[in-house]
Amino acid sequence: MLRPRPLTALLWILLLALAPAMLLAQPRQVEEEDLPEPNVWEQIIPTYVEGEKVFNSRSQPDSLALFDEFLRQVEANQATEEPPDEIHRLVANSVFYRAQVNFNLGKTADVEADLSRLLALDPGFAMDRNLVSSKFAELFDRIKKQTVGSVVFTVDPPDAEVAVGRWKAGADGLLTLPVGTHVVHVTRPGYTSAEQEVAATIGETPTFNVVLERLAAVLTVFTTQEDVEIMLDGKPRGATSLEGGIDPGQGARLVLDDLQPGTYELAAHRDGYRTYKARAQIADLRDYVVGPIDLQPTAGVVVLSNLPAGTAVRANDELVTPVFAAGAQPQLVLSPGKYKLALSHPDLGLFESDVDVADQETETIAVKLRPPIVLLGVLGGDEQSAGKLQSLLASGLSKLDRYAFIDRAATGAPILAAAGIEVSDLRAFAQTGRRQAIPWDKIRAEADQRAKGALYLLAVLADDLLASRAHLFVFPQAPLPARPDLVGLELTDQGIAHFEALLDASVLSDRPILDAVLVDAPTGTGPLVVHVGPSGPAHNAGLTAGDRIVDVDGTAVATAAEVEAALVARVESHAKTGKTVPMQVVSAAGPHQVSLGLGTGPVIVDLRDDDVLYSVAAFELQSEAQNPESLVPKWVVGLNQGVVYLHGGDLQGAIRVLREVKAPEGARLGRGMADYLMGLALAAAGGEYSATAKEFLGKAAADGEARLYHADGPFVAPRAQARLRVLN
Amino acid sequence: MIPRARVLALIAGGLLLLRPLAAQQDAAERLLGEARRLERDGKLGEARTEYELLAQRFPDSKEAELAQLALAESYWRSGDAARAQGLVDALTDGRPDSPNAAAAWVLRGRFQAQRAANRQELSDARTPFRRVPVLFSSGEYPQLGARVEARVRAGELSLELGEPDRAALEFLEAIEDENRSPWLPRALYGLARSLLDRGDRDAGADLLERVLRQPETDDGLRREVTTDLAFLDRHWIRPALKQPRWTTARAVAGVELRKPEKMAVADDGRLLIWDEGLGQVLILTADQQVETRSPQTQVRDVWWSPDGRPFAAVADAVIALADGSRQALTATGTPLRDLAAGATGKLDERFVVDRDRKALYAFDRNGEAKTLQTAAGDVVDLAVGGHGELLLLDRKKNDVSRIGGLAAEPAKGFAGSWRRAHALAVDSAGSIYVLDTSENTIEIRDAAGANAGSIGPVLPGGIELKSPEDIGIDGAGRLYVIDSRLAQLLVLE
Repeated sequence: MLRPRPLTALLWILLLALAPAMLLAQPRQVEEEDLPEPNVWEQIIPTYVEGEKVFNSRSQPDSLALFDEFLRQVEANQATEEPPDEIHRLVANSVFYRAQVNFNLGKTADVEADLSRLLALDPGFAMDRNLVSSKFAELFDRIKKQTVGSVVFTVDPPDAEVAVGRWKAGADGLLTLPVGTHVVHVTRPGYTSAEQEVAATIGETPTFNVVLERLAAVLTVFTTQEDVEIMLDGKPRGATSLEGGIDPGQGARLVLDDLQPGTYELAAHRDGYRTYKARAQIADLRDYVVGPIDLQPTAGVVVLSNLPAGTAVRANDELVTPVFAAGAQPQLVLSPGKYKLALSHPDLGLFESDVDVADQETETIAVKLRPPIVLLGVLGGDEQSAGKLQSLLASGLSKLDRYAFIDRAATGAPILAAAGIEVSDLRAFAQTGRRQAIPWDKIRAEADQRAKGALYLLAVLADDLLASRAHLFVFPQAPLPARPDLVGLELTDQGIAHFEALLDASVLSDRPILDAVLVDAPTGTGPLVVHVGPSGPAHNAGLTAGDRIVDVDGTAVATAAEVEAALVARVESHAKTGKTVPMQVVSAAGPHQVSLGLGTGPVIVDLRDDDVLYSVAAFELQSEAQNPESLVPKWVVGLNQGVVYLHGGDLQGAIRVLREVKAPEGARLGRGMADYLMGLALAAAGGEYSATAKEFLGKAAADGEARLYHADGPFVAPRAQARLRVLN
Repeated sequence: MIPRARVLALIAGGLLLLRPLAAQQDAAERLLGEARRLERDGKLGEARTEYELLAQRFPDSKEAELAQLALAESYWRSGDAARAQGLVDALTDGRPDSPNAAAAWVLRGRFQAQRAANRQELSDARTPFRRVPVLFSSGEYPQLGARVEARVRAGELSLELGEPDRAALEFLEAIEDENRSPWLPRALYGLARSLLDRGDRDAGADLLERVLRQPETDDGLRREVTTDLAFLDRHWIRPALKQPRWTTARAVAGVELRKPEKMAVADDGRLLIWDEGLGQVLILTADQQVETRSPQTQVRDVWWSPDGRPFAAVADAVIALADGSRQALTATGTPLRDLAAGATGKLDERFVVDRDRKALYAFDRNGEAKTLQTAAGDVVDLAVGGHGELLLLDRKKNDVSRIGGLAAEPAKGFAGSWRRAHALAVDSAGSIYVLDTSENTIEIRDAAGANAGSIGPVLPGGIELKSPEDIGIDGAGRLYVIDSRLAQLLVLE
């Protein structure tokens, strides 16, 4: 005897089945209108569940009202929609519970009515006798004997179904029915069907023999996925389903019971999966089974070349995991469609790319993670101009090669509010040149917290009513100096293009080295050589002071700038191949040719250069310093950092990096400049550091050939001497 | 809940309050723009009226401060120093924190430098400039053009005063401690000049070249740098390589001379020639074209003031050739009647030698005379050196002496062994050229008086001097000679 199955367990199963889908859907906020219309039967189940709960409690009589309500709701709805089997089962349970309550209340008449109603609904109803009293069981048996009869069917084929509506015969052919006359249906796919009128009476069990005739072959198709459309010879024949008490382990099923012998093209199709095709050979009229067919999802491959470990990958905002196969680049397997791939790495930055994935196609994307530059806001009262600038920045800066542009313009106002300053403070700072009490550290801390970026932009319109210009504050992430670069910007494409070029420029570059001083003295033709550094390229080529260079590798030159341009143009062809550059020279002895061995050397960022955003440079240099694969010598990075920190007023930072600079001995650029910068930083620190500053400036002053910024840059010594004299 | 009518009233009130403020701002900006336009168009009086109107109507606006600065400069130029000074004081004292007060300090320094009458006053003029970086530090005022200007102007004064070390630091601070500004080329140029003054040829030349590379460098500065580079080649590099300073001498064609007697050469190559045969003072352009002819008689000397004004001395007066005005000079209560030589100093003082009284006099801006030397009867020529020192060529003593000047440590004079010293010239590096009309040679002495070679009587290219009368040298180091027998102007390049 079975106890009614509690529905709460069933709900848990449903929930677990739905769980993966719910988890996948998590990133997207589900809106109310997205939900399907709730099933009327699902809506009334809670009433039953509540009734069952109350039935098992101390206030069992109260469950009567709940079961009655449940039954009323079923009755009200079944006029419009046939209840599913599960509801029928719950209805029978309700009536059964009701009978027990009435029994416990001593309402015998009501108990009998309930049990009669129960057996009319489900004549084969079985109960767990251990859970009811013996008297109740006796009453149940008595009523059953009075109202239920049975018949036995022997059928050929034996698996044919024998049923009267929902009442079905068991494997032994026994069919329990309310006393009375019924029409029994005997059916089996591929066979004729039969009907037999039977009379169910008390105390008798008549037997019937039914033989069905084979009409067609039966093809049962199982598919691992549900709702797969099955086609035979190109004609749709229906979709597989899990209905009808099929074991889910077998998959979903579709039974085709009208097939005649022959060969059929079987196709199984479902959107999102590759179509399965096979040839079905029906030899004779019997049963065939295909499957379970496991459809393969359609998918394309996106190869992510150069993907650093630790990179999070999102496709259309959903986190996806690349497959790392041995010896191959990591790849994503994605369903066909358009995707916006967003890659992020905690140290290396962001990368975004649009990709169109096609089934069984492979797309390769070269991943180039770029540090994010975050627009924190476009502030000012002129909303029209603010919108224009935001749009100009978004379109212009999206083209940046070195940085990934992120628009978080909504964070600007809250950041300023948290830092306790007004837009007008920033504007006054930019317009009057007077430093207001702008708490850049605080602003930067807020920015780091709200929209983590490598660099930040904060735009302030120059006017609240009619702005044609804006002030852009650019500052780097902590712990780099928070003092911003200030850029005046026209709200035009050209203005943005200029700003974009500033952002994309690298401070790390090389330039040819001559190691000489050339001047445009108008006392002769061609630039005049004033000074030649010992053992440098010019010296090794044989240039001496007083020479005039008139031609570089076939290009006539009239100025020192033209010589430099001619050498720059030959870096690729000569400096990198070791070829010498022929130069025509006029000296006191007459014209002659020299051969210059062209080399290049690093250019260090200038202490004051309008074309350098020092905050951006600080970030670039920090990244370079932290990059173990960097090809830039450490001392070059350190020297650059020294300049950038000095520019930003970060004396401590400057001293820290400069003391680590290990420049090559004897080079024109390197030690002398490092000593000079160190002297400047220490002198600015003042007080007890003055003596040390003197030492460094003294060393710089003693190196007569040392240069600033480049091996052909300005001489260090005279500057060091001038600075030194103040300290002395 | 606030009644709707009250909300509307509040909004309307706010608008009424905002509108006049915005309108005032607009009006002040318009007035300033108009005044500047008038000033650009040369309508100085009308511009001044607009500036004054602006300062009166919107006294608290920043445009009013700018108007005050413009007015101060305008009054100064027109000679109303007191009014100019008052406007500057109003800004420095009344608006001490305004960035425009920094510009006022700069004006104050400029006024002080322009009216300086001696070395000390010129040195003191650096004080207002030096105050600017102290009062308006880069920490508090990160972008302040006036601070850069102040540093550069202080450096330029230090250079004038012969303090190249001090100047170098001031220029260096403008270059390295300030944001890039239009003043950068002048700062680089000043640093180059400081280094050259200290004898650092290579670093100085390197910086001069860098000035040419700056996009902000204007044509005037570009010309100065090019001139300096030419000088550097002729008078520094070539001698160091044992090469002649001048490779050729040419007679200037197209300028008819009959009996040239006196000549002066400006830094930019313009020439003043007194030709007794023509009875004219000729002013020639830098490419030796006659610009003006001024009929004169009995001209004893001609010279250029350091700021480029031409002068001539006749027996009893100095003539400003630009406007033809004559100024008779009186010293110790008696008019001078036998002027032999003259020059204008860096502080606009006038030096003359009176042969009759055998004395050298200096007259300040106000015409006050001071006797500098009483035994100057044989002084045949005067010149003013780079630091404003007066150089005297004495034929009898056969020496060159130096008097005064702005440098803290003026160089000393030196003796020569010329047979007939007749004329004197000094170049921008302080080298001195002495014409000996007996030998028809020009002897060159460096700034310390050491012999640095000589040229003549045969010049490079073959021209032989016959009767050289005067010499001069321009900023590019070209040497000019007039020869009365050849009746030619010769240029050595």
